[in-house]
Parts: sequence; C-alpha cells; structure tokens
Amino acid sequence: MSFENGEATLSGGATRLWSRRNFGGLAGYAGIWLFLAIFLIYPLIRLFYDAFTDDANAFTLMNFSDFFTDTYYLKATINSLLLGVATVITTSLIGIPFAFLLLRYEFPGRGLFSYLSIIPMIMPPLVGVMGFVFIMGRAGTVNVILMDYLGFAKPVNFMYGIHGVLIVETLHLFPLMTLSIVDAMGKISPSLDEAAESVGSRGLRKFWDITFPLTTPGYVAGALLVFIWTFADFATPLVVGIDDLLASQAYLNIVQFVDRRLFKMGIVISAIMILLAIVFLIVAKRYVAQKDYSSLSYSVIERRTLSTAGNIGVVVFLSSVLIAAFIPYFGIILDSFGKGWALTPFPVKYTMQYFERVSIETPKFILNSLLYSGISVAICIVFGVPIAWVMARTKLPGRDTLDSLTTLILALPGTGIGIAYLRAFRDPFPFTETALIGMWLVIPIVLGIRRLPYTVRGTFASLLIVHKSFEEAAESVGAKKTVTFKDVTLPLIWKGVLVGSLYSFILALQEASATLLLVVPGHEMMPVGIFNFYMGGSVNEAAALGLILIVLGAVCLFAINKITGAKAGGVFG
Amino acid sequence: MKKVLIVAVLFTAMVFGCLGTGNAQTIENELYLITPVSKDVHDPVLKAFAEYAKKKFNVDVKTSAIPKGTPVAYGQIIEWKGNPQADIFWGGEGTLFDDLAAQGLLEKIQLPKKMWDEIPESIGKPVPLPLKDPKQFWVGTMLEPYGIIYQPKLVKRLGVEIKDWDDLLNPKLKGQIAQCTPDRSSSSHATVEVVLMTHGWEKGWDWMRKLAANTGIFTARSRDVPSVVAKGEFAVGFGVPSYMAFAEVLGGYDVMYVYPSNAYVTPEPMSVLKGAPHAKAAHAFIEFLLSEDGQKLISQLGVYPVTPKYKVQGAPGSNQEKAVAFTGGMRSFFDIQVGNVYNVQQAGDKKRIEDVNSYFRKEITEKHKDIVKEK
Amino acid sequence: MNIELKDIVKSFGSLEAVSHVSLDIKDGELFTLLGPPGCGKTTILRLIGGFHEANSGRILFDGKPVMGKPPYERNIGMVFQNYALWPHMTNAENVAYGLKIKKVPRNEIVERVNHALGKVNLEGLGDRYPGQLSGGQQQRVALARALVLNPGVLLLDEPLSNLDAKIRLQVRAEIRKLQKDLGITTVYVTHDQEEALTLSDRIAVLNHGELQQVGTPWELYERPANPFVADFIGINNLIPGEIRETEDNGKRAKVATKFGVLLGACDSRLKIGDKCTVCVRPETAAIGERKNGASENMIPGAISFASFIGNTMRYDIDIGENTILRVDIQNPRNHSPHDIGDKVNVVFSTATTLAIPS
Repeated sequence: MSFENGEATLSGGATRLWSRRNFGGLAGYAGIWLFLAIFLIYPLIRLFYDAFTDDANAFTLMNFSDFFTDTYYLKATINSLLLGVATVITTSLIGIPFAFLLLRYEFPGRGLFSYLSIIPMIMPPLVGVMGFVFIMGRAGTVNVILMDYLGFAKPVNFMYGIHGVLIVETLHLFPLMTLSIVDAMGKISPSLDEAAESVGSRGLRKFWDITFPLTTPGYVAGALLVFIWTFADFATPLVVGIDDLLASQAYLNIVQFVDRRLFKMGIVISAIMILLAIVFLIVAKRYVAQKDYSSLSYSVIERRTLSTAGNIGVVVFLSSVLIAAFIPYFGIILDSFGKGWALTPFPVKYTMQYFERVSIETPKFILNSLLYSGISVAICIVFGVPIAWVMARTKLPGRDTLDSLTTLILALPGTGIGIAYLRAFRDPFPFTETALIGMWLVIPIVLGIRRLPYTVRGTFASLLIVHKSFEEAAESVGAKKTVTFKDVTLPLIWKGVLVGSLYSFILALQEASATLLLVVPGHEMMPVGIFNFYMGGSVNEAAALGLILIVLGAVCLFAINKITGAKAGGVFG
Repeated sequence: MKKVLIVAVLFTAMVFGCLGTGNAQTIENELYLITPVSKDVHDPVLKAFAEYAKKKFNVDVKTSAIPKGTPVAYGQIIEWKGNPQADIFWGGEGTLFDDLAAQGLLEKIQLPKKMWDEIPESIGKPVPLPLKDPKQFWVGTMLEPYGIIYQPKLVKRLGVEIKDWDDLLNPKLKGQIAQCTPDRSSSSHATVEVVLMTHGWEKGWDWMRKLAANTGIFTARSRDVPSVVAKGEFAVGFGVPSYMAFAEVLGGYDVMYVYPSNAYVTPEPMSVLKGAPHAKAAHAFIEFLLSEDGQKLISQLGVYPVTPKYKVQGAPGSNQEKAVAFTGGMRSFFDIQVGNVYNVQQAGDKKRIEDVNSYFRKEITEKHKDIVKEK
Repeated sequence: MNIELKDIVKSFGSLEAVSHVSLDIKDGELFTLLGPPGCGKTTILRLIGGFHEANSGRILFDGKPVMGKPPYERNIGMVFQNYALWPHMTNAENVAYGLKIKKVPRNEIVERVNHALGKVNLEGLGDRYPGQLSGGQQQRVALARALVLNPGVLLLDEPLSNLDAKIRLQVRAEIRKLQKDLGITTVYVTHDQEEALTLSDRIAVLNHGELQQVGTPWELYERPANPFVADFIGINNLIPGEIRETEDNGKRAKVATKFGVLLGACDSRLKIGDKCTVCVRPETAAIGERKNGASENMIPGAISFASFIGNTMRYDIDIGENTILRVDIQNPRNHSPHDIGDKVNVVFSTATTLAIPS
C-alpha cells in the first residue's frame, strides 16, 4: 500500500513519483477510484438518468413535473421533512442531556447507563416498531391493562399515525445523537468550560453559551444522521399504516411494477430523496467547516457529584428514557416466546417453536448475515483503510473528493441506493451473461459501500492521533512506505480500524433498506428474513429472528466496548 | 490488497459455485418460486416437494421463495425480461397470467393429460371463473375465497355481528377495519372488483368509501391484514384469503372467518417462467402439487383442492377437520353452489386494472383522513 | 485579597497530588508556585480557583473559607495554559462574556472591554476571532478576559509555556508591569525557575506534592532549605558531608567531605554530626590559588570540559570520587582559557559556601 506523498515528492525529486515502487501504489489508488466509480457513482448517475428520461430513453422533465404537480407527493415531501426535523428535535431533547450527564456528572449507575444508552441503536429496522406495537399498540400490553383493568373504554392510540413513527424513531435514534455529542465534547478542551466558570457562567447558561456552541460540529453531524435515517426509513411508517412519506412512497411505488408510471415515480422519488440528502449534507458541511473547534485534546474533565435530589432526578430521567427505549425489546422477547398472544397483557402460553423454526429450518438467514456482513467488512477494510490513509497522509489529487464521497454515502438513503443498484446492474456486465442483480455478491458490495464511511472515519481518526513523525522516523531508519505502514502505522491504528469495522459489521447485519430491494433468492440476510416472516404473517418467527439479531448486535457492541474502553463515539462524528 | 480481494472473491465464488453444479440428473437441484401465496402455504409445500424429489429423483433440491404481492411479482417478472431469477410464478389472479403469456414470458405447462383433464374448466355462477388456461400457460392449484376475518372478542365488545360484506359498514366498526390496497395485493384487488361488479362503478366506490371511513389501517401487504386482526390490533380484516386466516388459527390465535356472498374464489394459478433456470424442477413441482399427495397436503392448510375428486377430510382433530369447521363445514368447492359476479375478461383488462388501482389511490388512500373525518 | 491554604491534601485515585500544603499568599503580591512537572503546582492553583475540591484542609480568602464554593463564587480571574479562548466568540465577546453574565449594562460592557483590551495593547483587535491572533496576542486576550471582572485574585497557569522564547520575555515583563499597576494578588504557576525568579515577589517550591520552601527569589537562591531547592533554583555544586564543628553560635560550620574539610555558612537546623550538603554556586567559585588563606576553601581537580557561552566561561572540573564541580568565570575577556586535562584548584569563599541539611 504505497502511495507517494506530495511532500516527499518535492524533497525526493520528480523522478521518485514515477519509480517502479510507486506504480503499485498508484494502481491501488486507481483501483479505489474504479471501485467507487462502478459501485457508487455509476448507480447514482444511472438513477438520475432514469429519472430524467422517459420509457423511450428520451430526455424529459415530465417525471419531475408529475411529482411537483401531484399534491399527494408534495404532502409526502413536507411530511417527510417535518418528520425528520421533529425527530432531530426530540432526539436532541433526549440525546443532549444524556451526553451531558454521562460526561460531566457522577451519579449512581453511570457506567451502566452509558452502556445501556447505546443499546437502542442495535434494534434492527422493522423489529423496533413491531416490538412497540406489541406493547403500545391498540391491543398491546399497555392498552389491554388500561381497558381490562383500569376501565378505559377505548384503546389509547400510541402507535398508528405519524406520532407513532416519531416515537419509534426518537427512541431508536437518540443514541446516535448522544454518541455524536459525547464525541464532540470529548474533543473540546475542558478548560474552555472552566474558563466560563471562572468568569461566573454556570449551569444551563454555560451550556447554551459555551459548551453547546462548541459541540455544534458534532451536533450537526449527529442531527444529519438522525434526519437522514428517519427520512429514509420506510419500514416503520408502513407498519403503523403511514403511506404519505417520501420513503414509503418510493418503496411502495418501486415494488409496484404493474403501473409503469408509478414505477417511474418511485425512481423519481428516490432521485429527489438523494438530491435532498445531498443538499442537507452540503449545508451541514458548510456549517461545520466554519466551526471546527476540536482540539484533539482528549483530556478528562472532573465529573461533578450531585446532591441527593439531583442524583434521584438524573437516575429517574435516564431510567425512564431507557425503559421507554427498551419497550420494543420487551415486546420482541414476549412475542418470540408467546404463543397466540392477543388481547392479554402478557402471553398466556409460551413456546420455543418459533426459535426452532428460525434456527433449525432457516439457519441460512443467520449464516448469510454473518457471511455477507463479513465480506462487506472486508470490502470496507480493503478500500476504507487506504482511503483514510490517502486522506490523512497524502496530498494526492482527488483526496478531497474521496472525503466528500465517503461522507455522501452516510447521507444517502438506503432505499435510494437500493433502487439505484436495481437500475444500474440489472443488465449483464460487458462480456458476461449474468447481471450483478441476482448474484449474491451484490449484497455484500452494497453493504460494503453503505458502511464504508464508518471504517474510513474510524481509521482516519486513529491516523490523526498517530503523529506523522512516527512514520517519518521509521522511514529515516530505512523502512519503505509499505513496511512502515505494516510495522508502524497499522499496529498503532488497528484499534480504530477494528472499532470502525465492528460498527460497519453491526450496521451491515441490520441493513434492510437497500438489501430488501436487492434480495437474491436463497441469499437472504436476517433483516430480509425478518421482513419476509413478518410480511408472510409469521410475526412470532420474525420476532424470534429479530431477537437473535439483537443478541448478535449486542455481542458486537460488547466487543467494541471491551476494545475501546468507554470511548466509542469516535466513528459517528 | 486489491489482489487479496480478488482472490477472496474468486475463492468464495468457487465455494459457492461448487454447490450449484452436480452430476447429470433428472431435475435440477434448485427451485425458486416468486409468489404472493404466503409462507403458511408455500413453506410446507416446498418442504414436501424436497422430500418428494429426494424419493423420486434422488435429488436434494434447494428451494426458496421470493414472497411478493401479485402485482409486484408480475412487474418483477416483466422486469426480468425473460431472464428470470425464479422458476415458478404462483398465485393471484389468472388474468395477470394471461397477460404474461401474451408477452411470451411463460412456458407451457407439462402435465400428464389425465391430471390436466381432472381439473374443471371453470367454477361459479352466474359468471364462470376459469380454473385453468385453455392454452396451458397456467393451471389452477387450489381454491380459496377472499373473505372476511374477524377477532371474535373485539367484535363482541363492539356489539356487532359479521355475516356478510355490508356488515362491515356498521359505524360501530369505525377505525377497526384493516385492509390492503388493490395495487399491493391481488386479494384486495379482486375483492374491490367484487364490490364494483356487485354494485356497479359509482355505487361500488361509494361502498368502498364507506368502508374506508371505518378503516383504521391500509397495511403494507395483504398478509398483514390477518396478522393485525389476530393480534387484536384491529377487529376486522377485508379481502382475506381463507388460508391466511386459518394459518392464524393454526398459530394459536383466536380468529373467525366469513365466506361472504359472491366472494372471489381464487384458483391460485401457477406457471413456469420462460427461461426458468430450473425448468425441469419447476414442471416436477407442478405435477407434485396437483397429485393426490400435493392436494392432501394443501387441504391441511386451509385451502381446497382444485380437483373435484379430492375432498378435505381427515381424522377427527386433524388440521383438515379444523379447516372444515373453520369454513362452516364445507369439504369441497365442488359440493356447493359457488356464487360469482367477478368477470375475468372485464377485470383482467389492463386499463381497467390501472383505473381501479389509481381510483383507489386517488379517491380512497390519499383522501383517507378526510373520509374518516367526514363520516 | 489574602489567600490562605491550610494543610491541603488532594488525591486523584491513589495518587496524592498535593500533600499537606499550607501557604499564606499576601494581598497584592505575585506569588509563584514552582516545581517540576507533576509536582502538584497546577492542582494547587485549581484548588484555589475552585476547579478541584481538596480532600482535606482549608482554603481562606481574606479569612473567609471558600471550600465547596464553585469558581464563579470565588471572585477569581484565571488564565489557562492553552488560553481557553472560546473559538466561537470574537475577542471582544470573550472579554465581555463575564460582564454579560454579571448583567453589567451594555454601554458599560463596551467601555470596560475596550479598556481591558487597551491595557493589554490589543486595541482594535476586538472584532477578530481568537484563531486569527498570534499566540502572544491570544495570551493577552485571555489576560484581559480575566482582568475585566476586577477579580480579587488572578490565577495564571503556565501562561508563557506555549510562547516562543522572545515573546515570552516580552509578555513576562508586561504581566509583571500590569500586576504591579493593578496591585492584584496573583498566583502564578510555572516550571521555569528563571521565569519564577524574575517575576515573583515570593515563590513556593514544590516537589512530589510537598512544599519544599517558600521565600523571596533572593532567599531561595541564597538560602535554599534543602538540596532539592538548591539544585532546582539556579545551578549549584552539591557536595555531601558531615558537620564536624560549628562556630559563631552555629552560624558557621566546618564540614568534613571526601574532598577535605570545607568551611562555610551553616543552616541553623544543623548540629554537630549531622549529615549535610555543601552548596557552592558556580559563579562564586574560581580557578587558581588560594589568596586569602582561611577565608577560602580549595579543592584540587582536573579540567574535564570547557564551554564558552559569551558572557561566561564554564568549566567542569573532575575532583575525583565521580564528582564534577562547575565553575563559571564571568566576563572572561581577560581570562586565559585552560585546556582539558589541566590540573587546577577550585577555590571558593567560605562566605558563599553553604551547608544545608541533606
């Protein structure tokens, strides 16, 4: 992995750039670009091409004019934006205090809370909303108790409607916000906070004037992720019967092939979603670029202790949020063991039959999940580590674009990518007979692309901490760049790479937006299996498979925690 | 590292490639369905077929199904352009199959003549419903009505009784009905057509609007309808295939089923796709399904044989007997007078399908909130 | 403001960062906490500022206990080592922020901010952001921010450590002048003994969390209380020995060493037979013959190293027993240099020779 570095070229003379040794490096760099060009840029271009052409491949703006003159789609657009903004607000209201309390205060159970606060993240799509419905639905535990024991005439509608989507997204995504803030706060020198105290600023005032503004880059990054995630989620709205959102419309229209006009609208909606995501990304980047205050000083601030009342207040707040966030877990556990559970607070009969069915009859879901997530992580490492290295250590042309591209991936809605792939790879490659769509390989590739940013960021962050002089020292005693990377850089950054990869792995395990559209028969992964079980009426099996997936995710998370100690937010920034 | 990746890809490709090749054989060792027929039925059938193939051809067939709603599956098959990733299309309305056949995307069914002839041409009065394609591009595989499912506990609490379609318009059911949309589900589509053909276009839509006023959820897929009713989330489900309701009973849920007047009875057509990667296995599968063993198997799952000589019958307490009890004592569709108003030619017209779907989308789903408010 | 620390202990986990330290900082003085990295000096400063709470002991501001009070209730002004200027505020906003918190009227804020920036020679730079200033300028903004509130005590945490040598000298002089002008009690933390000597009214020397000595720069230099202070402040030749006999009421002593008996001033704590350390400053020693008889000590040796540093000629002289004595010949213009290996005598006045407890 030897990429020539601009500075070295200057000092070493022009001939070095073209020495044989560098040829391999440049070829590798070209390989990275080729990979991104084929599997990221081309599908997106193809999607836009389709959106701007009619069935006869002639250029047209009709599709967009259809979209923008249809009040229903406009309503869906506004609803999606509002839902995204609302989720950002609610996750902020929960996520920011969480981050602040966990970082700055000492209270009973702080360690436990900080571990538990990440757990809601590992809830796979669809499973979360299922779990909520089991507990909070019209016939869920809470309503059954309200009606059968507390005399309510009608169930309280917690779930069915846009507010249900908001509840599910909020309790699923607030950890993303917490992690982003924790990460950002960790990078801010504590003396900035102390300086504020020394001039008399304290409490909320200090938070609003000093602490929060300094964490804006992290906050904006977290907010963007939350926004895009909500924006792109179609599973949750569909379960609670909400159709008038962009992601739902994109999904419903694209899987509906009968009416070509609707199908085309699915493509157009995906293109519009991607465009909107890119706009938000650019705005966020602009904003963050002006305000990067991180000092990379990971010094620790002394945690404040609280009064007894303060302790109680904090523990009650954190516990109630976490209990709410864990509702789907209770629901999933009950439903995966409960037989024929309906209209009683808890299942009356318990069984292992669902687990037997999913684990004995369809172990392929689990195997496929592990295998494809594994391959996708390999892809992430093979391409992500060099990309991070190029970004951190070289002045190669195109490195800024690499940075933008990997960030762009974070903002791309999974549905959009899935649809772009569907359009881009349905024809066979040149000189071959099979199209990528329909080969199992498409699944790990799309997962790899989708999760690439986590590896890139994890590695990049580690590389920033490893001072360049370590590498220069190795080179000064005669090690070539390749050897230096292997013997010096890699041992110093492997933790960052590993953590980034584990995150990629967890998220790959749970991916069900792009992969759901690209399903290859016989090669379904667990989330697709969950979807198939659920859609096929086997809700209990879906819950059982969901529970297995959650446990897998929790194991990975535990591993991350073991590896990194407490600091796990870095790759989310 | 690039090299390593290529090697890794080649290696995994080899490993997986090996699984796909084998010795000369009578049928291929894989079989893929694309089907709206839910897991409740396709899973046991595929499993039984794998055993059958092992016995008859000594082949271990790897089977899998791509579960898609009928319209979606139909569109997917067109999208494959004759290079399908599945072998068999199973389920839904016969008209879509005729359409695919016209596009040259289906292969003719290869069945022993006796087996083919045992299946009647059609069923139902006053309008006959075809059970097989005279051109032999598709064949019916089993019979079941698209009717009404309800949660007895909830329905009792609400103080309503469900006997026929019109009972669904009772204002006491406000917010309690679950249905799917016709562009996502052929059972919804067919049931909407039944309503339209019973009442006529204008009055039929009025009826659907009244139903919408009572509707609490338009589910993402037709199979969700019985699920949410079984769970008790909603009291009544509209346009539900009987076997799906029966699957909930087998799953331990307390649900009841109504076969309302003139409900659409589907023969769940089956075809082999043109260019199917495992065509031999596909034809073997159809033959198996229409054999006595196949028809017996499905009769345990809440659907009815498509061949008059097979009846739903079993030992007391068996699933067959439960199914019979569930649909009010019926043992075969050929034992009763099947009422039908559904006109295949009319409903199968492509323009008509799009008209119904887009009318439903524009006037029912998109205006659902307003309809609920008005009523 | 007068600040008293009484028997302060502060631990971080099992590490005792400050161990039973008592200090009395007088009103208006510039008091320096000096010591090597990790000696606890910054911890003491932060204890005074209220950023840490002591495990035990008392801190009094003008006789009133402040333990448990947060920083904003202590009327302090603090300048942090990395300046800690808020990057999202302009310089003027940085300075104004504390006044805004105290709800000072807007026009008064403007006036006081301008005044404070003027005091540190930063007129006209208020609208810029800290990132647009040089290190020295940032330091002055931090100073202005601390001073604008008219604090009772100014706390400076290694304020010059991030500046380059030339600017350091300049800012050092400015700080001293500003402090004298304002007459504000100032606690100054540094590890640079030269900085401490030039700036301070009084210095507390710390090592391993323990207080070594408190005194004026003069006292510390001339009368170090122990070998650590003797060695840490300035350059010193330290020779171990034992008190043989005392004279002049214990003010002078004869000390037996491996290099003969040396005569010098004696720390009052020493008695006959005590182990002690003899200190000889390089600039008080000379090379040559004893001229004044008994008023000078003499140790023979050989030149092992010589270096010329402009105003000084510095010799390292090997006197045996693995011991090197350093001799500085100041203003060496008329000095004829010795070669390495030359046998010479080191002579030093008994008046500048000091015996202190080991």
